[in-house]
Amino acid sequence: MTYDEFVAARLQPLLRYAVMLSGDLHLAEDLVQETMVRVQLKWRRVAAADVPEIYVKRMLTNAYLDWRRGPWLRRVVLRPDHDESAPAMATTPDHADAAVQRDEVWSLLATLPRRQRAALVLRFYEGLDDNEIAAVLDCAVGTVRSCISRALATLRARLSAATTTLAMGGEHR
Amino acid sequence: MIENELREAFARQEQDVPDASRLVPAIDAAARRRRGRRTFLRSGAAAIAVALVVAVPTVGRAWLTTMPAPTPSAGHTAPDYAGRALNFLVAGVDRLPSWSADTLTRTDAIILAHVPADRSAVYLITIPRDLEVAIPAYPEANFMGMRTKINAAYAFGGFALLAHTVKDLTGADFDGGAIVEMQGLAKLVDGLGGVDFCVDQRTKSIHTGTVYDVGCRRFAGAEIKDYLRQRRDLPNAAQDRERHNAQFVAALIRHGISAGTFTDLDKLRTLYESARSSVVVDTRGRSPVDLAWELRDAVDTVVGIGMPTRLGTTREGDPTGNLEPTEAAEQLFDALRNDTVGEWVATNPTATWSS
Repeated sequence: MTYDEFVAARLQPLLRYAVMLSGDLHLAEDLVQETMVRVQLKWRRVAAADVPEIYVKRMLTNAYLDWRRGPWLRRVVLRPDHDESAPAMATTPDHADAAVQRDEVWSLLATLPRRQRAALVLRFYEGLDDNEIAAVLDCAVGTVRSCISRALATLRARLSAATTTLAMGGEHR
Repeated sequence: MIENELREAFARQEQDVPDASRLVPAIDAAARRRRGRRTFLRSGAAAIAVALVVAVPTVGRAWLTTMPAPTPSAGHTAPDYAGRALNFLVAGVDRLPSWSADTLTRTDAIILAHVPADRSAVYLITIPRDLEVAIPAYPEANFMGMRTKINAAYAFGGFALLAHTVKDLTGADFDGGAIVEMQGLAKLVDGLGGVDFCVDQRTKSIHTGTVYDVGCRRFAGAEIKDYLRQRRDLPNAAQDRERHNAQFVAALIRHGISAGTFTDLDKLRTLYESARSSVVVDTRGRSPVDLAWELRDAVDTVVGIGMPTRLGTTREGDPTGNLEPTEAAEQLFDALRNDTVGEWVATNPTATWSS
């Protein structure tokens, strides 16, 4: 597989994954861009990986997990002109909207530790199994399982609390 | 249940993710800049090329042997030179001693040495460094391919990528190649006791201030190195320098003939010792001495050919600053493949010079 073929096949899924991971389109684009620059420069190593796609996903995930700690993301200077027509990603709940409860799950994701969120995205969006998730997150399979169950428990607790609040306020239909 | 809500939330957000292809130009530009920081230092000075493939036997080196094989079956066996036209690629590079080993450089002289099957001559075709070409992708060096000046090919992917690029341009398969480094060239020339050389246009060195007047005389190593680097003050700049470099190659070959080098093993060995510091030659497994013997008739006639080019223009008609091949150049490439370069020379006398 050449780099160009990889881009043609995997760039769009990678951006979707980054959006699910970060919850923010701009950050997602920066993550994808920075990751793909490194992929291009190190293509030989990437192509030699067992599953290049997993390898790249791991690079992007690490970038996301590290982005406050590591300085390299800050070096991103180039960003494409933003397409004004592109819809903004919903990152905060809109309480006037009927869809409020629907998107509650999405906004609650932002309250999780990044590692837990990554595990959820890999499981429920990417559909990976425990072993694959462990490979992407570079941790033990048991850690993946506990990570996911803890994240789900947190979400359940917060979701029911939010629903209760809304119901008491009478805005929830 | 919460699992399904998660899946649904992801699915809803998925619809709003914009097209990722708009990121591609930014990714490529950023990668180019970062790669550029890694590899580019401008080669300020000029450089030179010597078709010592035909004159100097030296050892091949691993980084040369990745050149495209002349035939797919060549494998480990030496290519058979007999009865067919031969092509060699010579790249002149000018590395300064202060540059670290991983600083890649551009080629300032690219010469395709062509010997027809009947061994009637050696044609030295100079390929202008400003020629705009499609440099193919070269994953081994993480290079994705781009359209730019041909002298960048060496910087992007070394001699192998330069050979691929010239093969794509001309269709010529290479039977060997040589890299000549400017540093050490003076030593080579001095080792030969100087080289008789003709200056065809008055040239003032921007580096040393020396003026080289038109005429033929014996040149010492330092002089020839200085002269061959000059480009900026010449009326046709790089094109003049490329011709000078090829003229020097011809002078070296002439020197080899007059000294009897081609028929004297001891002299070949001496030349080899003096050249090995500045020249890397790969003859693809065949003994360079055998090759020199094979070419003993051809080297009596050396014909220089400047590849015909014109200034390139953009779609809007503005000059690009790069050169592009003319119709005559395309005919020259056809002649290379069909072994009819002699006929091409006869119909294009203005593009050639003889020594």
